[in-house]
Amino acid sequence: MGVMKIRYQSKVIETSVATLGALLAEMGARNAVVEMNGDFIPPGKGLDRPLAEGDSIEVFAIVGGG
Amino acid sequence: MDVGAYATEAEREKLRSLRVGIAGAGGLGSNCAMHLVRSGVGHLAIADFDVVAESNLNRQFFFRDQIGRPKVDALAENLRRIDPEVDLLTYRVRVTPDNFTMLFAGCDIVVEAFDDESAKRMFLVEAPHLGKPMVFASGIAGWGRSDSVRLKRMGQHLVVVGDGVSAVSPTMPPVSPRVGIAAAMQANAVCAIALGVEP
Repeated sequence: MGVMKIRYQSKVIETSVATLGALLAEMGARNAVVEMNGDFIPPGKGLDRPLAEGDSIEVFAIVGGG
Repeated sequence: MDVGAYATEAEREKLRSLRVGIAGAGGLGSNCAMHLVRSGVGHLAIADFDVVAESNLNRQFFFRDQIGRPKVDALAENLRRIDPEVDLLTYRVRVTPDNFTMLFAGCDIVVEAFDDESAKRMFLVEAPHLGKPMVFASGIAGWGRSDSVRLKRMGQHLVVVGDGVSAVSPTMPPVSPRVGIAAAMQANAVCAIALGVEP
């Protein structure tokens, strides 16, 4: 598996993982609001989406309290 | 409610005709509702299963003589003291995947105001089916750090408010100032979306 550059939290990073779910696991962001390339991804959905060079991922952790 | 001379008639009408769904009537929901009514929002649909407890009075828009009453009933009473004309649909139910669409289908914007983390996740799964703007909160506990509470757009329809870190815990209580900041930011985002300006 090759290394690719993606944007994560508005920073360019290198990763070799193949899917959105694997990236979130690697980043410790499995429990988060997720946006991929401008689209909101509901919790638990889209984890098998393949990652490609230049993809942009934004996360916002979900924590309790209100 | 008339927000006064600082809004145009067109702006007032946009707020007056708006129906906002609020999922939860605790620290976020009760204070968000208060701000929305003061801003001239005409219609709210509010759902919460709980009753007012003494421990809620540190941050929620309730009063000591309302302890033991259903939150939605006490909140409706308090909101009508601000604006007797406000149109309120209140539901004393636990919001679930089964009733989510029924509760909020008629709303123009829906606000997530749960405290429980799994309920927050449920909101993010169910609310997108409505196809309407959503305002979500995460990370509101503790003292200080006011400017770490931020607003982030996630996708086309979702606005997230909070610091994304500060979960409620024994050392990180939910307290009025910081919960209030987040609730006010949620209400501010709702009004901005309705008025077509940047949330």
